[in-house]
Amino acid sequence: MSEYLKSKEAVKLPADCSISAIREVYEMIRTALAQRGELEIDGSCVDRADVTSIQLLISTAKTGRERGQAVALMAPSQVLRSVIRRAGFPGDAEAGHHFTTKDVG
Amino acid sequence: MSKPDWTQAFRLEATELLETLEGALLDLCERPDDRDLVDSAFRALHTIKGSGAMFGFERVAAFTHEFETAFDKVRKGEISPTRELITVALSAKDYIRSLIESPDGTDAIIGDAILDDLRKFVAPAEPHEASAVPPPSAPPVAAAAAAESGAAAVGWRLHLEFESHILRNGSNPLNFLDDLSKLGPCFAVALTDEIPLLDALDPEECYLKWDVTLHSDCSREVIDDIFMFVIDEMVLSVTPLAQSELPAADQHPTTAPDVNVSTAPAATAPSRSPASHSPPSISSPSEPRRDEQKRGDDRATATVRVQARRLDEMMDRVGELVIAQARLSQLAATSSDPSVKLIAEEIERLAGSLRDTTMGARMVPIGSVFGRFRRLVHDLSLELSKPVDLVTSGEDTELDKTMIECLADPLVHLIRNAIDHGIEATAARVAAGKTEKGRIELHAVHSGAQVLVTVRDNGAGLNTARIRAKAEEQGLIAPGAELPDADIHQFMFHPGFSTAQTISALSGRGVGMDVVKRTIETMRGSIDLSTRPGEGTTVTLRLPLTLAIIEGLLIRVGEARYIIPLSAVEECVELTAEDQRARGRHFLNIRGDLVPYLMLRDILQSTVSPDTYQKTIIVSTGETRVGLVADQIIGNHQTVIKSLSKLHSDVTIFSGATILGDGTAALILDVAQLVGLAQAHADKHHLNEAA
Amino acid sequence: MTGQAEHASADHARILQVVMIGLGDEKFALDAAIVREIIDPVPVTKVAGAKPFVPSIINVRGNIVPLADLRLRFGMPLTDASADTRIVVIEIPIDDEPVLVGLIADKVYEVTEISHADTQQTPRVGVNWKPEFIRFITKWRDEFVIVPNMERILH
Repeated sequence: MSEYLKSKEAVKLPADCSISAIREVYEMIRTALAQRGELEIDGSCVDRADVTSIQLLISTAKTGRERGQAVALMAPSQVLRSVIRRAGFPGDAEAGHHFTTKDVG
Repeated sequence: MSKPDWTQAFRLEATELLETLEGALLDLCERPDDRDLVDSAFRALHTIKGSGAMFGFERVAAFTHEFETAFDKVRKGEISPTRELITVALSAKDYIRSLIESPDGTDAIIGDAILDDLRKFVAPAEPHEASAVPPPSAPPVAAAAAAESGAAAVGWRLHLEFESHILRNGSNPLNFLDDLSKLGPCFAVALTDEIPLLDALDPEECYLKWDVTLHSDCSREVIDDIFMFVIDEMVLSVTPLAQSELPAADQHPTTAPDVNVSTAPAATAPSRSPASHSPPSISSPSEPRRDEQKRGDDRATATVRVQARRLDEMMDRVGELVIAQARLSQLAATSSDPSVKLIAEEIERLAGSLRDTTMGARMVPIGSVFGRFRRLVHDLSLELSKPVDLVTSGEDTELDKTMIECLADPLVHLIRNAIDHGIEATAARVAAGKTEKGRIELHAVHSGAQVLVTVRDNGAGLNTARIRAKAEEQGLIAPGAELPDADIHQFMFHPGFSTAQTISALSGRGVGMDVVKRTIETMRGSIDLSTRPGEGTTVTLRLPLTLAIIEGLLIRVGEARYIIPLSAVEECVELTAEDQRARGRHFLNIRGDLVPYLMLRDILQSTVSPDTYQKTIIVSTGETRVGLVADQIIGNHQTVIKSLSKLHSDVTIFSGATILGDGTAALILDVAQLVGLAQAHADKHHLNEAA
Repeated sequence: MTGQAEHASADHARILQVVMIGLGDEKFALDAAIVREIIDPVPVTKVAGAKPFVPSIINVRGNIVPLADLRLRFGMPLTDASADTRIVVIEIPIDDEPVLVGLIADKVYEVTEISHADTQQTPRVGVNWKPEFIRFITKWRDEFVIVPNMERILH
């Protein structure tokens, strides 16, 4: 795990980011943010997400801003995008207000 | 100073009454002709009304009065409780709850709409009374009409705030937003201010709030319906779009409650309606006071609320008394003074009955927690789009209050798991030739010294291969190791096993099963799991009846004395010479049944030689019987259970210790553990024979 | 470990109030702050399957208290109870919860004071005690006494 975190790669969100797994995702992101200068979160594999996923992402972005660390959400999967939209962040602009979204491919 | 306490007391009481009400209403859906249910619902309503008035919850009292008036027709058998009526009644119940919990955040318009609905059901049954109904409702109608006219044209503005624990209960705010958007063009804006920084974040809590603008000509009830099952766990404010655009109308929601309060009691005396309309709510106490009087009669047989802490203290004192009494009896036995013996006997009798009374006061029927799960199942079933029936039985089974409280969370876990992972999606069920609707059974029953609580689903059963793969991946077993399925299933209880990231995406069951297991074990209980592929899974919790005092059987093994919980004891027999000769078999013949037995002297490491005539105590857990062989049966003993210290937490065959009349400590045998041990012995024996 | 560190450095000259007990041929100094009471021997109840150094339980004023035998932890021979045998009831935290434990003492000498200034850096030769069981060894009236680390010993 620690090897992985030190690498330059983005932190990859697991397939399940719903409440049943969110605590582990939370620990992963928290550790990652503590260990890195900037954080890229790869959301391409997420196939289960809910309110807790969104809250975690926003909290991460807030924390990054607070600490002067750049936090970016990369390539959010269709599921994650859909949940973000349903949760009341209608457009990319809304979501972008909280964290930078990068599309890869 | 004392007033807040009373308020709190009312809140507590009301919470229970509302649970009773909800339970009765839900039951009425299935048994609309059950008079007892109607009466029970009515009694709950009546008490809420009375207490509400007494403790200054005028809005509660007034609303409940209206509710009660409408429901009275049901009670008189004039109208029958249709499913639609129950649905409205349930939302009325939720409204009362929100009135009690956050009176300021509760919009009177909702209440008026609910009452209107209730009256719609009630009025047609008795046309001549229908004319009596409109006067009191006149002001609400005006309000509702204003609201509706606005609504019809434009839509609604909503603000949603959920209680922070709501996600854990399986509610998903996104589903509500989706439901709203089905009503018309809907714009939700998430409010993220409450989301804390990472270090302060509890990832399972709900922090997001929403402002929603809904363009729809739907009625207010349609919106309320969406939130019907979470309304008591959220703050929902709904204002008509048209109105909120007019500055003057902003006051409307705040004035409406007063109107509601002052008019409501007028339902029984319609002629007073205009008079009571003009003064604001301050004038209403004269009305509720009448209720207070009625309440006096009503509650003659009612209960007194005692703080749980006091009950605990009382139990401690009773425990000490019982021990002191045992010492007295022992002394008296050796005394030559007959009057000392007489007093000792008298005190023994009194201590015994005081113990029973105190324990009785702590016993609560388990149905009080079962009730909560109906809602959970209902909500989860909707959310996961898996139709599920919840069947409960054994609600009357009583358990110590402390245990009931500890039991709620594990059961929520188990039920969630059963629906989320156990019950298959509808299509899969149909394909497997099963009923479309899944079924969860929740059952409680006394069994000897224990209460068994089972959660059974008729879903797909555990996926043994997948659990095995996971266990191998985590290095818990060597790849390809030979293990019985039951042992593999035990990995579900392994800490960190079930919460692993991938398993919830698969069919694996088990969010926090290790937590469930730990909770049950701290209650001196145990958890069993059995599963049949394609047929479902049964989780059985075995719990001791009480945590404090039990009736025990005092026995002697070697030089030491031990206690066996009497409720686990079926009978005592002498170990015959024939049995002794056949000791290698480790089975007793009890009226034709083969019962495995354990030599306690072996297990308890007794070093002195056994008595010639060994006694066998037949104990049982559920259907399993086991013989325990001891040197002597001394007799019954009031046993105050004391737990063993942490230094002895690794010792499993004792469930605790107690203090005997002569002041020495004696260990209490854990029957469930011994039965398991005896079965393991017996199985080994079978295996040996087979080999 | 923490005990050693904190006691070796800053509290160099601190005086520690202790209950001096005898076990076998050794003297042990128990921090008086953890000692609740000293009682005469009472009937013990053996707990089958318990760890060897906490073999039994006793009744102390209506409480079920585990009885520990430190001699087993220090590899000393067990001797029968004598007229001097006492039970020292101490209270120590186990997993952050205070737990009462009875300790068998062959003899209880007195409540006295020892000083860290006399701390002996090296355990004496030939003693194969686990170092983590010992907070430090000091001198008291020209005798070596052991200040045990009870949390470690009973863990």
